[in-house]
Amino acid sequence: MINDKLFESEDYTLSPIDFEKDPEVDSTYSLNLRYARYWCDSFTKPLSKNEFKKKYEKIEKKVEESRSVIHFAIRTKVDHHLIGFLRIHLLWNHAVGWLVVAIGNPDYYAKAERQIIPLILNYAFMELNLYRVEVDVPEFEAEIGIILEENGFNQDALNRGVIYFNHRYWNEYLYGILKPDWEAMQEVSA
Amino acid sequence: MISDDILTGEKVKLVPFEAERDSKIFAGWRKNSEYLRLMDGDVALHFSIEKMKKWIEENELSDKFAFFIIKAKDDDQVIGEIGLSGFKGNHCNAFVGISIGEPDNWGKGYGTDAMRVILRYGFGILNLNHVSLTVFEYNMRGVRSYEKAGFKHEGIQRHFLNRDGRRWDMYRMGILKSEWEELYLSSSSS
Repeated sequence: MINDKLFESEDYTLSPIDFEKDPEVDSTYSLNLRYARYWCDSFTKPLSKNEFKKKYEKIEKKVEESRSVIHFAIRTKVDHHLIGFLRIHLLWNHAVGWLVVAIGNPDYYAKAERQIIPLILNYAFMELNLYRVEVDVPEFEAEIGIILEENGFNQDALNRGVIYFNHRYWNEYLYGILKPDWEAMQEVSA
Repeated sequence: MISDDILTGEKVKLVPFEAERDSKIFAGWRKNSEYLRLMDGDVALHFSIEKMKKWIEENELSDKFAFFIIKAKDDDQVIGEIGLSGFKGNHCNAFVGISIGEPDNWGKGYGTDAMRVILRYGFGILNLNHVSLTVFEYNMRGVRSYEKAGFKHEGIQRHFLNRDGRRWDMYRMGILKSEWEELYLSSSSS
């Protein structure tokens, strides 16, 4: 029987962007620069509703034209409220995916990732057929590292002093998981 | 004392791209698959001179990259390309990429010298805190050259590449501004 629950966990769903409602929510979340930095390529700053619309359009264009990135809005299952996003950048020729999970609503920090990470690993290995998935984690988001390790990720690299945020330099951890490691974990938990 | 010669090393100097001249040279170098497979993880492809020229012209005046041509100091020959990109953490980190075109010029110390020059530029002019690079498991000549320039090993992206029917690791290396100052400023002042 094929898995028909690729996009939902117990409390959250992965869904398309809602161009009507999401810009306002994301714009409010982006006042927290910890969230805004996931949206900004250069200078970290809050983005307006219109800027978010432009960001969404750019992402959807890239998804459609190149399939080099996949983007989902993360919502609560109960009321479909936007709480953040998930993105996978793909290097198809090597079956590698670089994952970004950003939660904008502090009430869901760590809670959402705990359900979203297993969900996206299943999608990455069983639908996208990736061999390796990796995630960059800033030192100040260390709780995400713990969740990644619980899901079989290994800390593959420590990039020293590569982030400047809130008056100081921070390290960034690069976590990686390979398909065989993930499959072994599934067998243990089955 | 301010130096006017930031971009000149012992063997090489870094100069801007010239679309007309360099598009022909780049198209020529890229006919060598070994060159392409040492340079990056992208699919090995050929591009026409016209396409290369267009790419260079499109990136002129870009603030996203700082790319240079490497010229030999003694005879002014164009021997390679080097550049900083992927500026991250509000421009405190960048990735460096380097390629020496003709195999006859490999192993002569041009790359190490060009790397020392671009580090001086990155730390001394752009005020970076860290410079990162990735290098493939099968490019040990590159690893040795980067170590010589002062880079330290920061981790291994396990089984990142899929080439010639097997997976290869990708090494992550980096150098902090403080390490660069220790290596280069203390030796030049003593």
